[in-house]
Parts: sequence; structure tokens; C-alpha cells
Amino acid sequence: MRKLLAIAFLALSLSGCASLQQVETTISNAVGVIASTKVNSKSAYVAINVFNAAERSVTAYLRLPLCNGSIPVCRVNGAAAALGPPFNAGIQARNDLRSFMRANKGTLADAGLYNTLVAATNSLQQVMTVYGIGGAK
Amino acid sequence: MTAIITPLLALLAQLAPGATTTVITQVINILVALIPILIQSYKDLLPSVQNIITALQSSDEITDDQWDALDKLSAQYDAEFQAALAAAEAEDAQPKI
Repeated sequence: MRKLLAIAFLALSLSGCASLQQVETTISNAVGVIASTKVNSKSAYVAINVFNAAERSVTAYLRLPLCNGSIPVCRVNGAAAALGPPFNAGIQARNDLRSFMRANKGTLADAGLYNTLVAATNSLQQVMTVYGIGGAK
Repeated sequence: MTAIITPLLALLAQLAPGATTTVITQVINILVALIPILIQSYKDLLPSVQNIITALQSSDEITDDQWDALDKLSAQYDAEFQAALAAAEAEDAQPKI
């Protein structure tokens, strides 16, 4: 059931679903990293939650049994070493953004710190793709 | 768990500051539609997705209570990530039979 749902969702995101394609096309024109110097707290809040979702997914992946040739859903040997540094950098970026906001209550978030977190999250996506985290399992 | 994260991130990571109301509404609708799937198979992602939906649906700024709750979640997630990472690295380092 889980596999079917995952495949269904992936198929939905890759298929000709007009509404989803429209959203993806529209928002692709307004991609993450921004040029202004400040962002509102809501954007920072969303970015942190997106990073946290990625962190949860990788945590679940790291808990999988090591691949041995007979387990269909498993963790590749060496993936932990590859995932650790970029995720720790992402955690640092998230904490820096949060610290800025805590120290500057009521003001806008620093765009540089926001962009760093978005860039870290995008990099993590690439590492996750390499290890099949996010592929249909 | 892992199968859903890439399309989810691809969708959410593009929610830039200044996105139009129409785009935000469409993203909210997609995320809300995903909730039953998340409840059934991806519970670990549910708090983050629900936080995003709540934030996007509100016209107000994020409250102190919301930030405090997020800080607690982040701390919990970090601890569980570091524990899983250490365990996986230790297992990877063991000689294979």
C-alpha cells in the first residue's frame, strides 16, 4: 500500500496533472534564493520546516538496514559518511537563521542567512538523490 | 517515508518570499491533499508539513508560540538525526563478513 501511494504521488508529480504542472511552472519563476536583503519571518519559518522535513527523511534512511543484496529497502554502505557533513552544514545554517531571528525579534530575517539555508537544502536534495533517498522504494 | 520527500521538497523549496497569493493557495491545496497520505505512511513528515500549511494559510506573522514549538521539534530532530548518523557510521565501519 505504501509503495503504491508513493508511486502514485511520484506519478502525479511527474505526469500530466495540469494543476500541479501549473504550480511547478509558476513557482519555478520565483525559486528560493532571493536578491533582497531581508525576508519576512514566515518565509524563514517555511524554509526551516522544509529543511526539517529533509532531516526527518534522511534520519529514516539512516535507520534502514545495511544493503546486503537481499534487502529491497536498505541503506548503502558509505551513505552515512556522505550525508553527515552536508546535513550538519544545513543544521548550522538553520540554527544561524534562527539565532538571528531570536536576537532581532520583530525585525525581518537576514536574507543572506535565509539564502544559505535554502542553498544547503538544495544541496542536500542532490546528495539524497545520489543515494536514492526520494526514489520510489 | 523517503519516496515522498523529493517531490515535496521540489515543491516547497520553490516557495520564495513574494510568491503570489494564487501560487500559495495552490501549494496549500496540494499539501492539504497530501495529509491523508502523510498520516498513513509518512507520519514523521506530518508536523513539518502541517506547520507550513498553517503558516501559509495565515496572514499573520509567526507567533512566539509557533517559533518555540518549532525550536523544540528542531532540537528533537537534530538529536535523532545525530543518533541515527552515529549508529549508521559505526555499522558501516564494521568489517563485513
